[in-house]
Amino acid sequence: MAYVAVKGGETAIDAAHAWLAEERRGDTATKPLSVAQVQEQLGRAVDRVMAEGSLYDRQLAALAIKQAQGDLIEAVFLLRAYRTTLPRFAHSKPVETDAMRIERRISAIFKDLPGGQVLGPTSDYTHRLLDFSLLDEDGAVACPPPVAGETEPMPRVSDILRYEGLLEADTAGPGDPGDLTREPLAFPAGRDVRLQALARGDEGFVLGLGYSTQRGYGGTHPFAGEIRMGEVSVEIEPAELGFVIDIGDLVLTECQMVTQFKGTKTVPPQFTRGYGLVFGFHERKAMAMALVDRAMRAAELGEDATAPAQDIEFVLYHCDNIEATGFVEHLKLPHYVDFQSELQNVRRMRAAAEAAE
Amino acid sequence: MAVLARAPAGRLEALLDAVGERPAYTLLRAPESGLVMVRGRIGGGGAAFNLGEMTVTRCAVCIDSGPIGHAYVTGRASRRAELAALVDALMQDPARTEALEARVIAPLEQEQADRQAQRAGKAAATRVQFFAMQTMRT
Amino acid sequence: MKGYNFAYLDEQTKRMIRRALLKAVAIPGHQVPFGSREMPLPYGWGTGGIQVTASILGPRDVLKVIDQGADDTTNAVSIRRFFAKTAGVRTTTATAEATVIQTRHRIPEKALRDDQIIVYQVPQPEPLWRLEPSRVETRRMHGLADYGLMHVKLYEDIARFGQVSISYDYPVMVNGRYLMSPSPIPAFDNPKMDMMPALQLFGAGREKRIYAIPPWTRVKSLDFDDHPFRAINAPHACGLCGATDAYLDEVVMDDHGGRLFVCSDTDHCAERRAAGHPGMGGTKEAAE
Repeated sequence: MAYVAVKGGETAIDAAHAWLAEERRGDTATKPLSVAQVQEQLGRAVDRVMAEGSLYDRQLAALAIKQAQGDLIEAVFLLRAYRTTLPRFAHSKPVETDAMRIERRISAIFKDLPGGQVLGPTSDYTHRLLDFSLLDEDGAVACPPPVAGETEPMPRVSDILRYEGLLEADTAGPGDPGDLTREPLAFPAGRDVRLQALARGDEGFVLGLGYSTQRGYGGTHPFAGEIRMGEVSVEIEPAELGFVIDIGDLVLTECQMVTQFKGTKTVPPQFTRGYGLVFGFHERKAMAMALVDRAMRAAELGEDATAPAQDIEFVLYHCDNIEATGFVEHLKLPHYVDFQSELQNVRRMRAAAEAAE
Repeated sequence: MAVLARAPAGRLEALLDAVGERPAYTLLRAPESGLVMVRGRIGGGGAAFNLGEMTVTRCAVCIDSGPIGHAYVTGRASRRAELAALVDALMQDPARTEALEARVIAPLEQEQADRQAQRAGKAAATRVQFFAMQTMRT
Repeated sequence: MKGYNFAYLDEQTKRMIRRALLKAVAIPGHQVPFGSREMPLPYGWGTGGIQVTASILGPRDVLKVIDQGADDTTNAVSIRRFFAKTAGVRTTTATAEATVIQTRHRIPEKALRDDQIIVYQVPQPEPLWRLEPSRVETRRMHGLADYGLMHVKLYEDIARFGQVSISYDYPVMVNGRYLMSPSPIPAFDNPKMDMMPALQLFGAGREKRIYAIPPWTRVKSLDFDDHPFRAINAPHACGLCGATDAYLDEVVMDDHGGRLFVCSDTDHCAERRAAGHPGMGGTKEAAE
C-alpha cells in the first residue's frame, strides 16, 4: 500500500463555507429575515452585541446578528473586526447621564424621589408565560396613550444622598483616560480602564462574578441606588471646527450600586458605590458591572481582596468574550505537532520506567 | 448643527426642495465614515473613562459663494452627512439664513421635540403612582 | 481588496506595530506590549502573527504560511488567502522562495537565510505562566532576570522523571538575558533558533505582546550542565520521502496499530520526493 500527500484543505474549506451559507439562510420556503426586522424586533440582542462589540451602530449590530445566525458572541466578533477597519475621528465629551432623556428610572433605596419611579418598557413584572399569540402575530400592538405635561427633573440618586455626606463623592481625574483598545492592559489598572473592560466584557462572565459577590465571595452589601435608561447627546470637538458640536444621541443604561463601607481611621463610615454604564437597554449587564466595579475597589478601600471578583488582574484578563472564545475554540485547530512530541515523550518515559523495574 | 445631525436624509431633501435652495457645491471632504470614542464619567459625575465607540460620518462642502459647511452625524450615513453639511454652508450666507432657519431648521426642531415629548409621555405613563397601586390591589 | 487598506490594517496601526517590533529587536527576547487590534480571524488563530505580518509586508514580498509545518492545513490556507485577498501579495509553499514565512508550531526544515523573516504565532508569550499566573509578578521576574522558578521546575522534572518533561514550547534564554517562549514548536525545532540568519518575530494578539530575536542571536534551550538539552524525534524515517532528520507526524492508519510517519514539513517532503527519495510507507510495529 502506498500513500501520497494531497492538498486537502482548499476544497474542503470552500465546501464548508458554502454549506454554512445555506444553513444560515435556512429553508428557502421561509421568508429571508431582514436586517430591519432584527434591528426593530430583536432590540435586546442588538443592544448586547453593541455593548460587547464596543461599537454603537444598531444597523451593523443587526446585520452581524443575522450573518451570525443569532450567535451573539460571533456577532460581537464581526462587529469588533469591522471596527478595526475604521479611522477614529475623535473622542466625545463625557456623556452627562444626569441630563439623560429618561425612559426608565428606578431606585430600590427610596420609595419615592424627585422625578419618581419610572418603570419604562420593562419586563420586570411580566409573568414569564409563553405567549402563543405571537406564533401568529398580526400587526397592531396597543400601548396606553402618553401622559402629557412637564417632565420633572430627575436628579441622580447619588446626588440626592450626597447632600448628607453619607455617600462618597465622585472625584475628577487627570486628562485622558486609558484606552485598552489602543494600549494593552498594564497593572495596576485604573478604574477608568476597569470600567471600559467591564462595559465591553461578556455579560455572562460579568453576571457570574457579580453574583458571586452576593454569595459571599467579596460581598459588599449592595443596594440598587438607581438604574436609569434613556437617550443622551453625544458631543465632540472636531479639530477643524475648534468648538463643541452635538452629533446625535445614543441609548445608555446606568446603574449606581450603593454599598456599605465601614470606614477607616481617616474616612468616616459611609456608603461607597459601584458604577455600571453600558450601551443600549441592558440592565442586567449594568447592574452586574456595578457590582464587579465595586468589588475591584477592595484594595483601594483597604478591604481584604481574596475573592475572584476582587482580583483585578483575573477579572480584566478574562472578561472579554472575544479573547476567551478565540482561545478556548483554538483548541480545535490542529495541535498534532505538539501532541506528537508529547506522544514520544510519554513513550520514552514509559520505556525508561519499564527498564528501571 | 444638533438639529441637522438628527435629521433624516429624506426630510432634509424634502425641506430643501421646498425652500428651493439647491445650489451647486463641491465636496471639500467627501462623506467619510469613522468612529468616535464615547466617554462616560466614573460614578456618573467623576473622571472620564472610555465606554465604547460609535460610528459617525463626516462631510465638508463648499458652495460657490464661499462658505464652508461641516457635518458630523451618527451612523454610517453619507447622504445625511452631505445634506447636513450643505445646509450648514447655506446657513452661513446671510441672504439665506432667515429662510432656512424658518423653513428647514424650525420644522426639524419641532419634529424632534415632538418625538422626544412622545417618548417622555410614554415614560410618564409608566411612573409609579402609589395611590393607583393601592386601588389595583383591592 | 476594495474598501480596505493594503494588508487590512490602517497605516497608523502598522506604524505602531513596527515601533513595537523595533523595540523588540533592540531588546531580544523581551516582551513588548502593543495595542493589538481585533482582527477578522479569532484570537488563537494567529491574530498576533497576522498583525506582525501585515505590518512588515510589502507589495513585492512572497508569503508562505504554515500550520503544523504544513501549507495545506485549513488555518494555513485561510491565513494565506487572507493576505492574498487583502494585500494581493504573491504566495508560495516553497520555503526557499518566501521572503516572509508565517508559522504556527513549526520551523521549516530547510535552513532560513538572512533575507527571510519568520513570523511566529504565539498563544502564550509568557514562559513563566504555568508557574506564576500573575503577569504583574512575571514582569517583575523578567525585570530582575529572576528565573529560579523555571530552574526549580526543570530540576523537579529531572528528579522525578530522569529528564525534563517539556516536549514543546520548551523555554529558551535569548542572548543570555531574557527567558522566552519559543511558541509551541516541538523542542526538536529549538536548536534551529540559535544563531539563525533570518529575523525571528513573535506576535501574541490576545495577550498583546510582541517579541523578537534578531539575526545571529544566541538562543539556548534551558538545561543543566549534567543534563544537557536534547532534541527528540521519533526513531523512524518518513514513509513518503525516507527522511530521517525531519520532524515527523504520526498518522493513524487503522485501529490495530498501523501507523504512517510522515514529514510534518510538507514542502520539505515534497521537495525530497521530487528529488527521487522514496519512502517505505506505513509501519505496523511503529506504535509499539
